[in-house]
Amino acid sequence: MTKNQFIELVKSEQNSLRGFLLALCCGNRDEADEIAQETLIKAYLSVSSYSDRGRFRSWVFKIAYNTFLNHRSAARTYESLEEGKLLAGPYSADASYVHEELYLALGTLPPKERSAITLHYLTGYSIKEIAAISDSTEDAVKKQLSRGRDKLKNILQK
Amino acid sequence: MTPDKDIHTLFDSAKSEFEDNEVFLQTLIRSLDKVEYIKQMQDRQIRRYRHTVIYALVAGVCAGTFAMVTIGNIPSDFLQSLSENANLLQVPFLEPRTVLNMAVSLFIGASVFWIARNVQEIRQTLGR
Repeated sequence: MTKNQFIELVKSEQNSLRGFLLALCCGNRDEADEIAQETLIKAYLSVSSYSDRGRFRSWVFKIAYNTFLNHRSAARTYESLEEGKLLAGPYSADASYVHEELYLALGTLPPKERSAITLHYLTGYSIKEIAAISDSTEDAVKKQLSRGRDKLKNILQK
Repeated sequence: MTPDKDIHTLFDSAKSEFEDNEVFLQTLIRSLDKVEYIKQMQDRQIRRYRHTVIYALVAGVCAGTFAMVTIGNIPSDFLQSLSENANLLQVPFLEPRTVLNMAVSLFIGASVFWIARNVQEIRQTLGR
């Protein structure tokens, strides 16, 4: 794949990738974009291993998922919405940051649950696809989704 | 509405549109250009190492062949001159033929070391 072909694919997928990472980073756009750039450079460097033609998005999401888990933002989990509001304050002033409650609620979930929930509800991936992206079993994804969903509901209902 | 649908609705409304997609893409293209440059440099370096190894191998084979062919047919006046030089260096205990053998051995040894070092460097470069 040439650089231009790669860029064409990125053009069509960058919105969903950035949206996914923005949710994972709880609305922190700078961090999300930093991870997105790192993801795409990693993808470009390993483009020769991209054999699953036509499934570019899943392949890039898998790299994004692993890059996120290795990033400092994955290590940050809020104990509560209040703590999230306190800690996220300085960078939440982004103009597009209009879904603060949801992002902060996501921030209280452990990274793997946050990823499963985001992949399922934001990008519409099935359990099978999420299992492939996160290199885990379908049962594990079901548990992550169930736990994450319960926590999210409890937090948002408060 | 079920709680699951609630979450779906919440996420649907949270789907972001990015107005700075072009800026993001330009940043990426600049990074990819740098990656391309580094890749080209590395490829060039690997090619250079490969050529060096080939040259070293050819030099080693030529030196070895030359030594095998000529060492038994060295003109006696050449050996005589070597002997005189050896005397000048005050190493009379070394036979001229021994000195020549040592020189050829050193040359071949250095060639082998050179090849080994280059192979090592290539392996390190490829192991990135």
